[in-house]
Amino acid sequence: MEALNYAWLIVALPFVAAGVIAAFGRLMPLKGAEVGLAAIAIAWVVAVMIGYQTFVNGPVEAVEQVFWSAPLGGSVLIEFGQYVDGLTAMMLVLVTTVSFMVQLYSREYMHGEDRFTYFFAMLSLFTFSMLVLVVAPNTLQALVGWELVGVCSYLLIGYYWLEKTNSDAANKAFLTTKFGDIGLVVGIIVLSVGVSAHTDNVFSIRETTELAAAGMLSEPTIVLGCLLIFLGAMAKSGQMPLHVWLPDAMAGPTPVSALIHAATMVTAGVFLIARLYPVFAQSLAVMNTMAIVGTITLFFAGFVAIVQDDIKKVLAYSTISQLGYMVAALGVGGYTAGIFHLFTHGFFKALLFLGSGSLIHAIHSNNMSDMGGMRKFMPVTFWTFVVGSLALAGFPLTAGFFSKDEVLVSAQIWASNGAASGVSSTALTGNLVFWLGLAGAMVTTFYMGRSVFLIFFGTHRGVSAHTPEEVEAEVAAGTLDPQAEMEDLDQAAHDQDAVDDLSQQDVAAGHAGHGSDHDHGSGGHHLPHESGWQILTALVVLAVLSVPVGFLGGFLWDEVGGSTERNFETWTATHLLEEVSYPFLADAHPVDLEELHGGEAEGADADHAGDGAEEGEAAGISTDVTPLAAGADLVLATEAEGGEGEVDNHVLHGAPEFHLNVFVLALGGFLAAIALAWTIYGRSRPMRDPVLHMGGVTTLLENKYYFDDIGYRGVVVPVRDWLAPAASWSSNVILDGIVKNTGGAVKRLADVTYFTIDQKVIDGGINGGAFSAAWISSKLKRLQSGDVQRYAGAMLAGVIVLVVVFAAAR
Amino acid sequence: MAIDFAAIAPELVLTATAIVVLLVDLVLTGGAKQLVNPLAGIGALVAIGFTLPLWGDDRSTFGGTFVVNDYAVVLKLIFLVSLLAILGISWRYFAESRFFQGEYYFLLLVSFIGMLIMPSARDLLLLFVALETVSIPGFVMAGLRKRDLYSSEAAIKFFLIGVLSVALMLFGISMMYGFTGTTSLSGIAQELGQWGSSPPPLLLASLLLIIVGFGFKISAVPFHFWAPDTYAGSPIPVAAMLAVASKTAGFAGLIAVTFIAFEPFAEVWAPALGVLAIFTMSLGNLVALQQRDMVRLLAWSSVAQAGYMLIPFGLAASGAADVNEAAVQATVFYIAAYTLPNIGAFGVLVAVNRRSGYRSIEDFAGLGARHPFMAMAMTTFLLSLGGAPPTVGLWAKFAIVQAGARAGDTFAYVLLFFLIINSVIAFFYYLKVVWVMWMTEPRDGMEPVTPGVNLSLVTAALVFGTVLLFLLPGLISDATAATDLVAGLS
Repeated sequence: MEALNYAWLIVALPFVAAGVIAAFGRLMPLKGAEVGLAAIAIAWVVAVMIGYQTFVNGPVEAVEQVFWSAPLGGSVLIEFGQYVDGLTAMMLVLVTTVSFMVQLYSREYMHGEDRFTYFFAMLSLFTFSMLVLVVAPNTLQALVGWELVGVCSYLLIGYYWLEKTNSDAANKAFLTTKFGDIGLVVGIIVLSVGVSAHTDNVFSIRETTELAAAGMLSEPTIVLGCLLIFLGAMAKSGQMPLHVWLPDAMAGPTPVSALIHAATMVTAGVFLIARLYPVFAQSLAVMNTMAIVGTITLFFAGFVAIVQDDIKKVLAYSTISQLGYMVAALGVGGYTAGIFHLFTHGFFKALLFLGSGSLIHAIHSNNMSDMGGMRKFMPVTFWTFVVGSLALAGFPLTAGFFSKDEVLVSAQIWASNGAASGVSSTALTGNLVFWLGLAGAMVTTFYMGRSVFLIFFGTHRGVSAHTPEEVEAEVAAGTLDPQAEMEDLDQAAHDQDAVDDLSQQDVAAGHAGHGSDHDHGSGGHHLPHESGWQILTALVVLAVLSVPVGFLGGFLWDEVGGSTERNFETWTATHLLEEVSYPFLADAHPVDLEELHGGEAEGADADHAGDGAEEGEAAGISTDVTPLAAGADLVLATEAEGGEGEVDNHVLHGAPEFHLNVFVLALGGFLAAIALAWTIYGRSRPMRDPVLHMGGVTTLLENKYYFDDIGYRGVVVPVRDWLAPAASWSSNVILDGIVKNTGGAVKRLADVTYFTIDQKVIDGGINGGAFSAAWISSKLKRLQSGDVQRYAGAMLAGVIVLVVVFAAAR
Repeated sequence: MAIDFAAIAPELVLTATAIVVLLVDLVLTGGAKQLVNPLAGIGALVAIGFTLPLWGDDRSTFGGTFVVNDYAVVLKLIFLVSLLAILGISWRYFAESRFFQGEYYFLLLVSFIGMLIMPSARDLLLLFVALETVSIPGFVMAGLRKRDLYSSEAAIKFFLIGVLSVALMLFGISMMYGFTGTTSLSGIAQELGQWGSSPPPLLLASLLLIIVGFGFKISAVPFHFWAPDTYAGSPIPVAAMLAVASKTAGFAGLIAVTFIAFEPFAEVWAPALGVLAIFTMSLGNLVALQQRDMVRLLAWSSVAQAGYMLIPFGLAASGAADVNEAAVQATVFYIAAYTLPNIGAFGVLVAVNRRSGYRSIEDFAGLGARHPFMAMAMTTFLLSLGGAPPTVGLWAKFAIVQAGARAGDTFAYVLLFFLIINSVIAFFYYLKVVWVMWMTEPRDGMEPVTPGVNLSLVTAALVFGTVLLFLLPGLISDATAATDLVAGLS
C-alpha cells in the first residue's frame, strides 16, 4: 500500500504549480502552462498508481495521516492530513485525469488570451482545492477544500470579467453555493456535537461514520446534521431548486465548464454525501429527501435542456439532470451506483464540454442554430462528440449505460426491500426513481440526439443570407467568397441578437469572449475547420476512456476478463461500509465497532498471507475471510435479487448482475427517443422546431420553470428594493416619527418653560445674551437637524421596551 | 495594601507615553510634530512588552477590583495591536491635514488606557471609570476637525447620546447598589443569587439599565443611532478606533457585567441580548445595503458585526458553566478575528481618500487596475468581514455557530438561523464593493491612489495577519481557549 502514503503529493503538486505559475509563469517560454501540465501529469501517474493498488486489493484499509494540526478553541483541533481509501482513489483518478486533459486542451483553446498565465495558475489552484476536499480526513478540512473550490470557481467563472453578465454569473454562483455552505457548516457542527459525546476527535470522518453505523448517534442529530449537509451538497451539486447558478456558470471559458461539470465543483456535493454515507444511511427521512430531490432534479432539468439553443446550456442542464441521478441513486441505497455514475459521467461530460468548446472555437458562437453540417468540417470532433453523447444517453456498452443501469437496478432493489420490510416510503421512492429515471433517460437521449443532429447533420447554417442548398453548392464549387462568408456570419449573429432575446447575451459573450480574444478572430476568414492536435488529443483520450470505464462496475466485467471479486464496488467500498445496514429495514443491526476493528486487523493479516483465502465466493468481497457476523456476509454474498422475500438491508449490493427487464426497457427507451430525434432533426433543421412550439410547455421550459425569476423576484428584488429600503425607511421615518412625538412633547415642555420662566422671570436686561443663545441654538439646531433628539428618544424607547418586556414581564 | 505594579504596568506605560507625547508636542514644531506618532507606537510596543509576561499569571490588586488573568491579557493584547494598527493608518492622515496632532495622539492613548483597564475591572465603579476614560477622549477626537461642520455634528451627537446612556447606566448602578449593597462584581453575583427565582422587577430593570450603558458603546440596536453619523463625520482613523477598539472595550465591559455579576439572572438578560442581536445584525445589514458612502457602509457593517458578537450572549444560561465559557470564548475569538480586517478596511479607505477626498463606493471603481495591492487588500478584508475563506473571518463565524450548537436549545437555533440569513445578505454589499473594485472601469481623470510607504506596510501586515490566522487559527484560539473566564472571574 505504499503508494497510498503519497496521496498528499497529488494534492501538493497542483498547489506548488499554481504558486510557481503565478510567480514566474510570465517569464516561461510556454507562459506557465508547462508547469501546470508537468505537475498534473506527475499527479496523474501517482493517482493511477493509487487507483491500481486500491483496485487490486479490494476494499482497502484506509490510510489516515495527519500532517499538521492547530487547536481551534476549546478542545477542538483542526487537522490537515489525508485519508485515502478506494473512494478517495477513485476521485483522485477522476480529478487528475480530467484536469490533465483540460489543461492540455486549454493550451490551445486559451492561446493568445491576455491572462493566459493567470488562467493556468487558477486551473491548478482549482484542482488543488478539489483535491484538498477529496483527501480530507475530517469534515473541517473538507470544509476548507469546499470553500476554496467555491472561491476558485468564482474567479474562473468570472474570467471574462469585463462582461457584466459574466461577473453576475460568478456572483450568482458564489452566493447560491454560499447559501448552501452555511448549511454545511452548521450541519458539520451539529454532527460534531453528537460525536463529541463519544470521542474527542469530533470532526473525524472515520469516527463519525463508525459511530453512526454503530447506532450511537441520536436520531435528531443525524437527521438535522445530514439534512443541513445535504443543503450544502444541493447548492454545490446543482440540485433543484438551488441549481440556478449552474447554467449561468457557462459564462466561464469552456475548459473551466468542463472542469467544473466533470470533476471538480459539482461533484463535491455528491462526493461528500458518499464520504459520509454511513451517516446518511441511518435515517429514512434523509434517504427519502435525497431520493425525492434527486428525482425531481433528474426529471425536470432534462426537459429544460430540450429547448436550449446554446450548446453549453444543453450540456449544463444535462449535468444537472445527471447529478440528479447520482443523488437519487444515493437516496435509494445505491451507494455504488451513485458514485459509479459520478465516475463515468466525469469522463463523458468532460468530453462533451471539450467537444462543444472545439465547435465554439471554430464557429465563434455557442448557438446550435449557427452550426449544422459540422461533421464534414470537424470529423474528429464529430466522432468523439457522438461517443460522448451515446455514453450520456446510455447506449449499450458505453460507460453511461452501465452506470445508469446500476442506478435503476438499485432503485428496483430498494423498492423490493422496502416492500419486504413493510416500509412503504422506500417502495415508493424506489419505484419513483426507477420509472422517472427511465423516462429521464429517454429525455436525455432525445436532447442529445437533437443536439448531435442539429450540430453535425444537415447543412452548415452559418450563412443566413443564402439558402442551405446554395451554400452547399457554393462550398462544393469552391466559389464562396470567404470574406463575405465571414461577414455574413457576423450579420447572422447580429440578426439573431435582434430577434432572439434569450440568446442575445450568449452571442455577445461568444463574440467578445472568443472573437476578440483569439488571434484568428481577425484571421479566421474561412469555413470552420478542425481544431489543433492538443484539443483533439484531449478529445480522443476522453472518448476512448468513455467506453471502458463503464465495464469496471458493469455486469459484463467478468466477460471482458475482469473478476467479480475486483470490480468498482470492491474498489470504492470500505470495511465499514460493508457492514453498514439500513436500520429502518428489516433485520438490520448496528455495526459492532470492536468486531470491525478486530476484523480489520485480521483482514490485514489475511492480506499479507496472500489472496488465496478468497476462493469461491460468488460475489464475495475480500474481507469475507474475516470472522464477521455470518448473516451479514450471507446476505451480501447472495446479492438479493429483490422480490424474493429476503431483505438485503446492506448498503452494498454485491457484483451487478444482468437484468433483462431493465436492459430491454432502457434500450427501448433509447431507440424510441433517438428515432423521434432523427425524425424531427435528422435531415435538416426544421423550420418550425416542434420543441419550441409546444405552447405553455415551451414557455415554461424556456423560462426554466421560472426558478431564476422566483429567485430573483422572490429573494433578490424584495431584499434589494423593498426590505432594505423599508428597514432604512423605518429606522429613519417610523422609529423617528414615534420618538419625534415624544421629542416634540419634550420640546413643548421646554418651550413652556422657556416662555414662562425664562421670558418672564429673566426678562429684558439679558435679552442680548438670550439673543446670542438663540443664535447658537439655531446654529446647533441646523447642525443636528433635530436628529439627536430623535436618537435619544429612540434610545429611551428602546430601554423602556427592554425593561417592560424582559424585566417586568417575568 | 501593596499595589501590584507588574499587574498595572501596561496601563502605566501608556499613561507615561501619553504624557510624554503631550510634552513632546509642545517642543516640536511644524512638520516635526508628526514624530509623536512613532513615539506613541514605541509606547504601545513597550506596553505589549509588559503585557506578555503577565500571560499565565493570576494577579489581583486594589482590593480585588483589578484582576489580571489570561482573559484580560488576551483583550489587552488585542487593544494594543489595534492601537498599533490605528497609529499606522493615522500617521499620514494627520500629518498631512494639519490636525492637532499632539492632542490627537494624547487623546488616543488616554482612550486606550481606559480600554486596557476594562477587561481587568471587577467593580462597577472601576468599569464605569474605564468606560468614561474610553468615551470622553472619543467625543473630542470625533470633533477634531473642528472647522468641519460634520465633524462637530459627529462629536455633538456622540456626546449627547453618550451622556444619556451613561446617565441611564449610573441610574442602574445606583439602584443595583441599593439592592445589593456592593459594587464588586462577584459580590453582586452572590447577592443576586439569593434573590432566587422571583426578583423584584426594579432589580431587573436596574440590571438592564446597566447593560444599556454598554449597549451604547457596542452600538447595538436601538442604541446605534449615533454610530453612522459619528463615523461619517469623524476623521477616518477615529472612525476605525470607534468601530473596532472602542467597541471591543464595550464588549469587554459587557462580558464582565453579564457573565460575572449578573450570571444568576442569565435567564433575563440572555434572551434580551439575543433579541437585540437579531435586531442589530438584521437592521445593520439591511441598511448597509443602501449605503453609497464607504464610511457609512463600514459603519453599518460594524453595527451588524456587533450583532454577530452579541449572539453568544443570547446563549448564556445561569449555572451552565460550559455553555457560558464557550459563549465567552466565541465572542473573544470573533472580536480578535474582526479587529484586523476592520481596521484594514478603514486603512484602505484612508489610502483611497488621501489627497483625493474620495469616499463613496463609486470612487473605488477600477481600484483593481489603479492600485492592485490596495484592491487585493480590500477584497481580503471584505471577504473576512463576510466570513469567506481564505480569511480568518470563516473561523470567526464558525466559532459562533459552534457555540450555538453547543448550547443547542431552540433559541440558539433561531439565533443561528438569523446569523445564516444575515451572512448571505452581508455578502451582497461586501461583494458589491469587490465587484466595483475589480470589474468596473475607473472614471476618467481619477486621482491616483498614493497610499505612501507606511500605510502600505500596515495594510500589508493586516492582510498577512488576516490570511495567516485563516491558516493558523490556533494563534488566537489557543489564547481565547485559555480565557477561562467563567472559572477565573472573581
